[in-house]
Amino acid sequence: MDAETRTLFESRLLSLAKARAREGRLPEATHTGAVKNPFCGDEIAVDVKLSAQGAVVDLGYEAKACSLCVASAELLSDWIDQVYSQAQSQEGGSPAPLQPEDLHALAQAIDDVLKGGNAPAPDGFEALVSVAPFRARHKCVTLPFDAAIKALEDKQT
Amino acid sequence: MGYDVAAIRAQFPTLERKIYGNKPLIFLDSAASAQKPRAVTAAMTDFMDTTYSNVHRGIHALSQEATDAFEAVRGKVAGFMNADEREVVFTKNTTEGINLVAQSWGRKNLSPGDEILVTELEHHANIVPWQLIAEATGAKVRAVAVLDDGALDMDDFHAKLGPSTKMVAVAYVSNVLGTVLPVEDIIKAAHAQGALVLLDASQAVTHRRVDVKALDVDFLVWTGHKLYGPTGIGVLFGKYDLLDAMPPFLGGGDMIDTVSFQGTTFREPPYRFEAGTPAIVETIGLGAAIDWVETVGIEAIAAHEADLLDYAMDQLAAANDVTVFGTTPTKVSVLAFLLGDHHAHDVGTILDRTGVALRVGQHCAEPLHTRLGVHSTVRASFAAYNSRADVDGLLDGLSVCRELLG
Ligand SMILES: Cc1ncc(COP(=O)(O)O)c(C=O)c1O
Repeated sequence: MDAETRTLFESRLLSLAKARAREGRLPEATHTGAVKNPFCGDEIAVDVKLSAQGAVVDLGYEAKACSLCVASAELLSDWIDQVYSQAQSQEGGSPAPLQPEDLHALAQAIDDVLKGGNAPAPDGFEALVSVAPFRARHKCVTLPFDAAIKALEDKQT
Repeated sequence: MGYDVAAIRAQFPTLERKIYGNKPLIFLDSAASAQKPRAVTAAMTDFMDTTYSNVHRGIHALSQEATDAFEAVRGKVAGFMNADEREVVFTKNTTEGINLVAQSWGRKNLSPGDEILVTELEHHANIVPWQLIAEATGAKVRAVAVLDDGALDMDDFHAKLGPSTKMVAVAYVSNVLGTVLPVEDIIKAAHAQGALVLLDASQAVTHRRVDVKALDVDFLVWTGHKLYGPTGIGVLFGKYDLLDAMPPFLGGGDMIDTVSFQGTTFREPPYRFEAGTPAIVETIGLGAAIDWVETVGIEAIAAHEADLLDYAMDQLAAANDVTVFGTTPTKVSVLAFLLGDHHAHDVGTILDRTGVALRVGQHCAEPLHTRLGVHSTVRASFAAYNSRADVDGLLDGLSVCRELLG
């Protein structure tokens, strides 16, 4: 098997997808968005919880989807946790809470990584670089981001 | 002389391609669209180089020659499925053929309370056009259930067929399960209730002899690109009296008798349904494709494919971790399956990198996948040019999937 395929399937993406450690809907979601990839039928629903100040504080998902889509959702949900907890733990001053715009910027950055741009992958998303050579699978990775953005564009639930 | 698959393969230049460096292409996606033999591309190029002109409208020599060549294909298509020439309408593809019947026949003949009977195993092309016309006319679309082995539930068919049924629109062969439907029984029962029958023969004409007169079917549609022909050309068969009673589908040139602002009159079938300049070169290509199929022999192709299917089914059954969807004895060489609990897409990506081209997803049959209780499937399909070595390639590819997906 070629190196690209090996790299992809031996990356941590597959184990993330097997564990599905973070899958689950958010009971306290303020926004929710579901999207479907008409090409393969994969579906994902993403719940987002915004604080009263409008910062993204939590994200949950539920997917009927392939390993790459689930892994991508796992990474996204992890990332929000980490950014949020970092913001929480900053001493004094005002932490920069995660704004919906940050999620848009992240989605754009992931898109650039997939398209093979030179920019490095955002922290925590390095494994997604291995998907870049598989053009037919890019949508699998971006689907959770599409759902998150759709959720944010939605009215409060 | 047996079936010489090497000689057949040699006529398909695409099959000589290497992909991903130097991997031989193992093409198992013919149910989506078949590769083209040189005879088809040569006929199209030759026609463009020597005879090309618009058809049905010229006084000059080329136009007459082009018209003759174009109309000769109509004759060939008619012969291929045992129809009369005037019952052969050229369309763009199956999808257009079904939309044509749904809109043209449906608009005139459907009213609130009427029912259109389809099945759970239909391609979206044989669902959505009926939903659109049902929406417009107040008719209702109902779907006949499919059994676990991929057969049509004939009890459910008979239960749902009734005096309200005006149209029964079903696949002749499922594009996922490979099931050949008992269309003779369906047609007899539908006619006994006064309903018409449309068969989506997209996956049938490639695997068996189709005879519209023996079937006594009312409409039958298929698409050229699955029968080793080019894209952009399809066929609608309709019984002449039915076509003659139908209003036009699209309006424009070629389909009119006289045009005035007091009112326009339309030509007789099939021309009434062929508005505008047709896909002339593609039609010539379709003619060459039919010649090619008839030279090899559709029965010989079918027997060869049946052998490949048996071989593949035996090997997959031996594997223990493969679930095959569609296991009826009438199955043709369309083979949907899942490997363990791995997502079809992951399997498809790895197979692709081993050189195996096939389709993953729902194959434009979402309701069927819902019925099967699976999200998506991997579909291998075998055509005239496939060999046992291709099946072996698929099995080797599956071993790589097991290794990488764990
Ligand atoms: C059973 C069936 N119906 C309809 C179609 C649609 O054919 P086309 O896209 O050429 O209109 C296909 C092929 O995709 C098919 O397999």
